Amino acid sequence: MVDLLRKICLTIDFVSHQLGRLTRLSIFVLIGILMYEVVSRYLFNSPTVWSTEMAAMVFGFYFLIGGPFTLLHGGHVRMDVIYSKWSPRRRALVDVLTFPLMAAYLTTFMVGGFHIVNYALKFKQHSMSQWAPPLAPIEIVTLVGGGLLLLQALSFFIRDLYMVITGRSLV
Amino acid sequence: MSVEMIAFFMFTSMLLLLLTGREIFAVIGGVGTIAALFLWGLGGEDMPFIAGYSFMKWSPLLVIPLFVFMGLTLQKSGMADKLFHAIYIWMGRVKGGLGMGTVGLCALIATMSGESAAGTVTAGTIALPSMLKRGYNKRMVTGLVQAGGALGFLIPPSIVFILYGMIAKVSIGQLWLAGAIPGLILATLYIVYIGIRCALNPSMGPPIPVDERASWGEKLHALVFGVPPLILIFLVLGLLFMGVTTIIECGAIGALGALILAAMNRRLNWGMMREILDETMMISSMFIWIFVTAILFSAVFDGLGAIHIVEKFLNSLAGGNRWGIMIIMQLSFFLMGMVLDDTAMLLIVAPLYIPIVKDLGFSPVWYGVLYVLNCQIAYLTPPFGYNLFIMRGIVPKDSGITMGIIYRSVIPFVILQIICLILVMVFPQLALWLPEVFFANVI
Repeated sequence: MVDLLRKICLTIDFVSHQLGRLTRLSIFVLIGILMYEVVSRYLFNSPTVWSTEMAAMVFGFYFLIGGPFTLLHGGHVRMDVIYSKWSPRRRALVDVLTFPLMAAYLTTFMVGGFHIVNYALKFKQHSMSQWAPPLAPIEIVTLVGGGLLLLQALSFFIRDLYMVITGRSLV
Repeated sequence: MSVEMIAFFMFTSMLLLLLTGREIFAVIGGVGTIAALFLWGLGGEDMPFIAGYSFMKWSPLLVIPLFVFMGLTLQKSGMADKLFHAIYIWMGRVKGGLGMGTVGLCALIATMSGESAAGTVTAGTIALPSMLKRGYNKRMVTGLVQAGGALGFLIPPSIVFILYGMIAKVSIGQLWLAGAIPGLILATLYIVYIGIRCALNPSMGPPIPVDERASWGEKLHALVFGVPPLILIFLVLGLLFMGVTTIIECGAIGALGALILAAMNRRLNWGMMREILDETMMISSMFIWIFVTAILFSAVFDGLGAIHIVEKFLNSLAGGNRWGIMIIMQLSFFLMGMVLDDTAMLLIVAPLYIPIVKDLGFSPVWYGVLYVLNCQIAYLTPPFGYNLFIMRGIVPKDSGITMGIIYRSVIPFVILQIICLILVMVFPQLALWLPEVFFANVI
């Protein structure tokens, strides 16, 4: 049982880490799109219709799929004035108690996301811009980003629970 | 339960839950979600996702990773070391010169980075140890490094102004220009203060001994390194204010330019690049998740009609006097800034205050500068000033700088900040003059 839990946590961590390593490169794509727009507008006098919206989508992918990596490596800031003074077990206990906040937010996030993605797919929704890309892909990325973040939070929750019960760390 | 009670309960439970040390975005998102479900049942269940997806609508957000990337690249590629070296060579012979030069360095770094922590980290890791070695007064240098870092809030390109501009629906370019003169005034106040202290008591900032002073050849050589960063600053900010590039594009130019400078400096390697990429992604993701949860929280607040509650409350406190309301708003920012993260505070409180500010006939651009000045003060003051935690991480272990010294060292600088805040309140032209030169329609 403990082995299984450990395996689950490590698998989630691995996925978050590898996805983050891939996603961190998309900032170059972002820079590339925006520079392309500047150059084509001034040098070739032909501004694009898609650059701003495309850049926003890449940016969404960047912070959403990079979210679990950020959580894994402690990048999501905490107000740690009091927290940093506690013992590991006490921290784990408080984190277990406040986990429902994280779970309520991200679960509802996903429920709402399913409705909205469903709607976009059913009615083949397009953006109301000149370029008019379909909306479903980026909405699905948003949904997946929330889901992966919830998974990473769950991995920490399992560890915290183990710490509270046994006083030892799981991994 | 009355609407007032629900709004009050939401806000206080968020503040209290933040103290448990749960990630900020999870606390704000959790409280917002629970309130939405409680108020509107299943009608509220789409709100978290809609707020999360709103990044598509707020396109200026995407300059955040670009400016963070630019700042980190310049910091890690040794550009800041070179600039400090130039200051060291040129200012070392003056009493307190390194201290004054460090303030200048911070102002310069602020023009190349969107984030306030960048200045504190750079000055704290490069300038602080060097000044301590030269026998500078511990308390003074600890304070000036923190105050200098906070200049990043005011001096363009500043991320706080980007967020404020989106919320208040005013031009970000105007806000950046509006922050520039108050930022320079503050830097000047710091420099004058250090100069006076060290002139009265040279042991606080002793000049470098004569035999260690640099020759003119070395001085000119050091100056050459200052040229490429100045070109970069022009490309990023100059082109924007001349109307050539948009705010998003100037971020991309900055990021690319920083990369080229680092390559010219021959300091670019894959290990460093990995660090920059990881940190950029983590800082951006942290920022945006707080942003989208604060949007959710603020949407629930809006649904409650919190604007009217706050307006009624402020009116009853100040007796309808517009300057009274203004001063209470400033105080509330200062108090909340002690506990709340500045991004979250901006997104939750500014939508409530800005309509009131407009109703009272004040300029939202000017108010933005006052807001950022308040953020700066909150950033420095205990018990929850963010930079205090940054400082705790970077002061050299053997320097004898304790938490007590870090806390007390900011006092003179906070007084100078309050003086600057009062100046801008009394003379709004200090903020509004520069944007009026460049833009026709400053509001």
